[in-house]
Amino acid sequence: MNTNPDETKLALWLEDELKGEELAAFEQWVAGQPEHHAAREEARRWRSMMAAAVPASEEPPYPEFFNHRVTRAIREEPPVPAVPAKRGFHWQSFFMPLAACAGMVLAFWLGGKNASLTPEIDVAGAPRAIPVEPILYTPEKGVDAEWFTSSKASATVIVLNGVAAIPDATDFSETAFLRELREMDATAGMNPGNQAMEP
Amino acid sequence: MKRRACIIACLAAACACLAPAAEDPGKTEIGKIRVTVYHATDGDPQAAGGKAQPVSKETAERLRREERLRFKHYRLLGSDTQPLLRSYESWAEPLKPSGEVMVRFEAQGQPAGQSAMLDLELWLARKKIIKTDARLQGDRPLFMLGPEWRGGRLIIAVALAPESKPGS
Amino acid sequence: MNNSSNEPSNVPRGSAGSLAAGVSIEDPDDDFGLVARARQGDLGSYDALVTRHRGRIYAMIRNMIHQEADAWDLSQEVFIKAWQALPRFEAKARFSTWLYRIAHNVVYDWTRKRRIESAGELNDGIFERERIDAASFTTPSGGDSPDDTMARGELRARIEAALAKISPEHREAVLLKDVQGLSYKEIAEVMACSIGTVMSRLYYARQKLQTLLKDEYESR
Repeated sequence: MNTNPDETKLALWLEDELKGEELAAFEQWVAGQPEHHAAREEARRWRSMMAAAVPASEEPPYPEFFNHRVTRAIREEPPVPAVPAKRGFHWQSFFMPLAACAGMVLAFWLGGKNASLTPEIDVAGAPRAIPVEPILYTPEKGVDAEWFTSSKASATVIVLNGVAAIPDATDFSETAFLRELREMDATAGMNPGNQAMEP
Repeated sequence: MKRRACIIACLAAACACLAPAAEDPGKTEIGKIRVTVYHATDGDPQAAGGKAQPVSKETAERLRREERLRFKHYRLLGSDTQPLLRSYESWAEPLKPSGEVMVRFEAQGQPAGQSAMLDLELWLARKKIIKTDARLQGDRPLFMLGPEWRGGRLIIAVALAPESKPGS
Repeated sequence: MNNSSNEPSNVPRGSAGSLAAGVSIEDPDDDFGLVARARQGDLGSYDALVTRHRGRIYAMIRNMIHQEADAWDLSQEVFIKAWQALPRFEAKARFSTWLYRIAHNVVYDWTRKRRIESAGELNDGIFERERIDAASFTTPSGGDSPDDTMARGELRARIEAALAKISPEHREAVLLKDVQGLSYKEIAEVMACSIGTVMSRLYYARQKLQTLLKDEYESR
């Protein structure tokens, strides 16, 4: 769409985006045109209604956890190279890329020659670099969690504190798993204790 | 005629190749997660109910080795094994039909060997209690020391379920 | 407080949502200071930027796609991508405008390749919202009177319903201008189009919305 420069200025003025001398000059031009002033008031009323009804900013749920997830994902990525400080021309800035290109060409050429001799490295099974400490988020008020690795139990342990107790009247005697175990108990020679597939 | 038959055969072959691709790769099962709930107490083990199962000696010793999980008695209340999917969440309900303890998990990336990273949530009494990322290894489960119940505490164990062997 | 054995040492700690000491809200100059440090790998400064801008990005995306859970994920994706693209950020633009541009791309990609939600499909009956305690999903509310809150809520619902009836391009133009308060020039940068196109889209979108909201708008 080709917009007349005056139309552009008018649109900017209607949205209160003109400033300084441009604004002053345009105000002079538009002084005797009440329809434009009415349109500007209309635009202001509309923006005011929208801004009052629809929030421009809304904290995401679990905001701390939100940040944690972002940080975790960043840590799992290769580090962002620090932007080097600008410096003047140096002969290295010209020859280094050239040398790098030559090196790459040589490497490809050598790689091609030695492809049959170089054993393949299987990277598919290589472990990812994973941060050790987990992220813990406990949205319930009064609940907190401690995490540690237990070499004695060969496990990771999370201790939850402040969790509401389960009422004693609650009964778990008929869980589906236990029903299955009892059916299996009917088979001669099976030890129910060992059937529990415990970690 | 021959040419038409050839074209039809090619189309059929193309359809056969495309058919698997039409399935959602996110639903591929990349492992299994087992969630087990124990009742741990220094008091009367019968408090867990007459139908709770004894726990193997190995498991009891393992739990006792860790001071924070050390109790005199352990009983098995329930267990549930669910698939770990590539791009979808799964829910385990070890005390089904009771919804008192539920675990939601979702894979974070592909498992590497006998190791998997999960997004994991523990729900108790239908409230989200903890959300965490958990790294599970074949021989290294996650134990969560949970709420009190009948004079003891629940321990919720999350582990990679071993591959089922033929005939077992 | 949650404890782990290896607490990261370079993330500024404080109450939930607080900014690092000495950082003021919404000051573009402070943004540039934080950005400069983040570009050197300072995760603490980047965490402060996330805290500062997450509300706007989340609100924008949520208003665009009306799916809270996806908006939460997509908002994080914006900040992850922003971190990766930091070396390419040119200080001549506002950091917030640059974030909106990334959000624009993220929403566009998401709209193109949405995946089917799993709830109800693989685990029927497990994750039914009515079974879950509603308190688990509450978001802190403001301090308005119940009547004001209800009135504003109703208007917002009507506006959101009206926004859903216009195309994503028109919706985005209105949200960026009338809700987020961006200038025409900034919107053109975010949407990768000319200022004239922005003007045209905005004009059409407002006309359409005003028609859809006729009763509400004329009574004010």
